[in-house]
Parts: sequence; C-alpha cells; structure tokens
Amino acid sequence: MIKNLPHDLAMPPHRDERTRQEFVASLRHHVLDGMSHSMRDRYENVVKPDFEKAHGREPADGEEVHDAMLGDPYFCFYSSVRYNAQQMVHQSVIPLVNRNLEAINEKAKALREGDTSAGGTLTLNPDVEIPRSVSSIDVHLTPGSYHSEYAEDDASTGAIYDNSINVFAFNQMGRYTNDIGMSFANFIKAVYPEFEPKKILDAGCTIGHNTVPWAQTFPEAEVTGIDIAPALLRYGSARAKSLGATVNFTQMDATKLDIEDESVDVVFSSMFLHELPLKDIRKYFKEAFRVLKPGGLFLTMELPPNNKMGAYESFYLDWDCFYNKEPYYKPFRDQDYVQLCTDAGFNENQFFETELPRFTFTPYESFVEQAKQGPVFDGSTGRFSEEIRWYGFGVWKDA
Amino acid sequence: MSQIPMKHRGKQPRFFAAEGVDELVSMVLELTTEVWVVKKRLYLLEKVAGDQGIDLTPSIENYDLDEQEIKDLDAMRSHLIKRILRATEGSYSSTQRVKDGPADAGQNAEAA
Repeated sequence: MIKNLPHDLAMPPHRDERTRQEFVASLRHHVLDGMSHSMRDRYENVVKPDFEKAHGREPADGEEVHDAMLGDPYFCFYSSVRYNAQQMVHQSVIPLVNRNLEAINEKAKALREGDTSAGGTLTLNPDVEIPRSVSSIDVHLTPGSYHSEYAEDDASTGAIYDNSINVFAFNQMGRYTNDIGMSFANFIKAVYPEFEPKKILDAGCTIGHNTVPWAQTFPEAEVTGIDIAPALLRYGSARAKSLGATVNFTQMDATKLDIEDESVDVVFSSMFLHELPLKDIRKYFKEAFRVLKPGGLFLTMELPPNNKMGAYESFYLDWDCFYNKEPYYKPFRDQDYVQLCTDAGFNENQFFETELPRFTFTPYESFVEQAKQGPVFDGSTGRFSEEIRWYGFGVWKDA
Repeated sequence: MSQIPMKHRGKQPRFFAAEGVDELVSMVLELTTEVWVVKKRLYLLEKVAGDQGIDLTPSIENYDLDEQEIKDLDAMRSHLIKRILRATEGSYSSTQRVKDGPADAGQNAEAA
C-alpha cells in the first residue's frame, strides 16, 4: 500500500498510476526480500561448489563471486527483474510529475515564500558547477539524473526523487522516508548525550528527507543541507517548511565548502559517498576536517566496506555499481574507511563504526541498546530489506 | 517547460546470453503490471456497482460497442501494446520504425 506523500507537495496520482506504483513496490519487495534469498541459496548450493571444484578453494572476494555468478540463470533473472523494477519505479511517477509540473512548482514556491512557523533559508548559487559525475550519468537509472531543470524555478527533480523513494522504499524507510536521518540523529543524541551540536551540516542532502530529522532531534541547532542540484533544494526547502522544520538549504559543492574554518559541530552525509569519484571523496573529507570545530563530529551513513564483509555480501551489495548506473559505488566500498579519515587529518583513535536498527521501526530502549553494540557485518548490514541495519562510521576531530 | 524523459540515458545492461531474453523479461513485467492494474480496476468497478444495486455481469456480456467506442478502445489497446513492448525500443533499431499500428486494424479485429 503506497500512501500519498505526507506533506503539502503531494500530488495524488490517478488510481491506475497508484496501482502501478503499488505493483512496482511489491515487485521490489519480491526481488529484495524473496529472490535475494533464493539467489544466496543458489550460490551456496550450486555456484560456490562449482567454483571450489574448479579452483580448489572458495571465491576470495566479491569480484570472484560476481564472475562466478555471471552465467548463472538465476542471477540473470534476479538482475533482470531488479533492473526493470528500478526503471519501473521512475516510470510509475514521472507521468504524474509531468502532468503536475506547473502545480508542483507553484506550490513549492508558495511554501518557500509563505508564512510558516518554520524558518530556514534557500540559497542558490548559479556559479556552482554541476560535476560530471552527476551531469553525465543518469544515476540510479533516474532519467535526467539529479540536476536537470525543466522549467523556471523548477522543483521537478525533487518531486521525482520524493515520489520515487516513496515507491522504491516499499514502506521500509518510514512514513517520511526519513529513517536513515532519524536513526543517525537519535544515535548521536542517545549515545553521546553530553554532545550538544550548535551547527549541523548535511552534505549531498537531495530533498532533505534525512536532514529534517536532525532539526527535529536537535531543535536548538542550526541545520543546513547542501547539494549541487538547485531543483532538489527548491523542493527540499518547500518540503521542510510544509513539515514545520527549520532547515537551511544551500547550493554548494561538498568538495569546495564555502564555510569558515572550525565553525561546524557535525558534518553528516548519508548514501552520498558512493556516488562520488574517489578524488572528490578525498576532497570532501579534507573540507569536512577543515570546517569542523575541535571536538566536532564527522559522521557518515554509508554502505559497509568490502574489507569487513564476506565475499558473497560484497558481491551482493556491489550489484548497483554494475547495473544501476552507480560507477563509483564499488571503488568507494573497496577503500579502507579509517585510512580515508586519517588521510584527511583525522586521528585514527577517534574513529568508530556503528550499525543501527531502523529507528522508526524499533522500540526506543532496544534501539539504544543495539546502537551501543557496534557493527556486526553480516547479511543484514546495509542490505535493503525488512531486516536491514544501517551502517555508519564517524570520527571525532581532536579537541 | 519541457517534458521529463521516461528512459535513462546510456546502455541497458544485458544479463542473458541469448539475444532478446532481457527484453522478454521487461515485457512480462510490464504486462503483469498492466494485468494487475486492470484486475484491481475491475474489482473496484464491480464492487461500486454492486453497492449501488447493479449486477453488471449480464449487461457486460450483452453490450454492443458503437463505432466511436471501438476506435477509442483501439487507441487504448495500441497504447497498452506500446507500453508492454517498450523494452524493444532502442534495443533493435528496426523496431523504431514501428508506429502505433494501422488505424483501422482494431476495428476489423473488434468486428471479427
């Protein structure tokens, strides 16, 4: 059951469009929570024994598993259905956005300019260059990628993103598709209660669905989401206002932060690094180190690193790199995350990792208990399903 | 104001060694989507009518379509086929020459 978006930018679809969205959501659920288990069985019972017979050992890493799976008919069907389902997510929402483009843009503008209890600014900067890593690839198979604009004061890619994740998540990211932000903001609040951030930055925030939870969890803090795509920010700003959250949205490149040295308490990002070329990841880490106050926190929600995962899990998670137009996904996951942090100036001893159950689906006491346990690195770590645990790492800047 | 495209840029991955199987999977999935859309709509239609005291089944069996209705249904069916066969667009250049279908083909089909 797919519900209308829970804010004023919701454009109810025709009934047949909604039925298609529900079908696609069910199809994704079938692939990710059903076929994925059968594919694992297929690997254990057929593909892995064949590999062992031929090589006299198990596959050493995700790449070897991938090579071994390539000709397997079940892998082909899993991949083909998953690839189609991803395309169908966008195709189930684009006609709705196309039909309502003018109304969405007008409503977004009215929300941004209207009197609401929420403050928050929108600052666009046309001098910000759209990186080739965004402009040249239809990331996640999204037609037009993140940066395209189709009208004056356009917010349409924001509308596509918001409506798409509503279908994509098949209700596994909460009513506001904000579970990642809720989980990480509440993790910090619960596990580090003495830490009282005044300024919080969310890099690569898209429509701010995971930025708003920081404003809700730390109402005293000034929360700013940055992204390079203006249409996402226009939409995100309107969305936050509709939800009564005070968030600033600023067009800014995370690799060139227009922010003073040592002025920010938390630099956060979620599902961001795996879309960046490695050179940009390194620049972003250095910028984060520069703008963080001593004692500030660099916090990243991401996919777990390949060096901590088993060969099959590495292969499974890297699927998106090969078939979902996310070419930087595996190169990022192949990195040593501690090394990335120390290369940027952080102290290795201040590094930590975490695995969080979904905050909006978990009783509070159980969430806190599990959040304190540290990472597990198993088949539920970062694997999108009903059992997912979000992976993250953080490093405190020396005080 | 321009239209947001429906298809991503760049190559479609190929999973199957045999040509055409990837397209067939897409077709089956699109087809299944549309079958579900219709099934749900029919369910609702019969429920709504039943709630209003109308038993639709005999009327549906005996209904005669007029010429305009036949044309409208032809267009709807062409659209449905185009949607189901979208996977072949661009994969095989010859299919790009296929148009929406002959204008009067549906009429004959309905008459038959």
